[in-house]
Amino acid sequence: MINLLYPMLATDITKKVSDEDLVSLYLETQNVAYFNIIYKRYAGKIFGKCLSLLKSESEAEDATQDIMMKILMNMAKFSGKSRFSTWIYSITYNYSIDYLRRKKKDPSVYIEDYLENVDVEDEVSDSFMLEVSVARLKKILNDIPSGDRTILLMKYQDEMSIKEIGGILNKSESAIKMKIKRAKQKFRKTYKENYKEEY
Amino acid sequence: MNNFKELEQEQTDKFENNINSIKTKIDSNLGTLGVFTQVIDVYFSKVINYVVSLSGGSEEKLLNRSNNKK
Repeated sequence: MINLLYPMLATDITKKVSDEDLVSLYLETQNVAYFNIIYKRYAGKIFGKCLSLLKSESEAEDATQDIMMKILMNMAKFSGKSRFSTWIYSITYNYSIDYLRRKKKDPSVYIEDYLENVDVEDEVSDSFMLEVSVARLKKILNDIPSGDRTILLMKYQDEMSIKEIGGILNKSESAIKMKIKRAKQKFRKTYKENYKEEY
Repeated sequence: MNNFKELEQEQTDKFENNINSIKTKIDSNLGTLGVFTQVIDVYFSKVINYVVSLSGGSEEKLLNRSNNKK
């Protein structure tokens, strides 16, 4: 299989081979070319997440470098129980959350459940979340606390299930549902504050 | 593609230079790591043999024993 795939490296393997196959091939051959494809697929996404969470280009660069090295060194630990993308994003989110905790940049990341009056009955629809323009989405995500931003990115950008998010944040499914609800309310509140005239 | 994914794509395109520069740093790290591993590979067994001979053991015996095992 390796011999068959190897010539394709020069052509267009990037779209033809699944992440999981690339991991197996890398582990079998230790050929960095396979890691380079994984890098090409995910580095931008990892950098974007780090930038959204850490809010600093240079810190996001360092974080992305550390995370990619971690992925490379721990590739053998990928069990295949989850999607490879979920595994990579869990490393990314955990790294960023730990980094923010260490820097104590944003208390909402490390305070279990920050105390805030939110109406748990007031559900914000997914269509509201998904109809916001990209420019506004960027602004609102930048303005809300990191904890809320993280969970919204997991749900809407990475399309993770409640169970997957719970696994990464080490929380029960009901706790995650509540966190998503609160994050969406925070998002809508911030949207209203920024674009009063239209709301 | 939803708006969250569009934002992700926008960031990926915008910061392509940063991503390339990170790759250069990773490649350099991997290069250093590779050299370090090779040095360990080549010299570690020699250091062990040297320590064994210093402590009174015979380097030849050690080599014979490892050859027999193979």
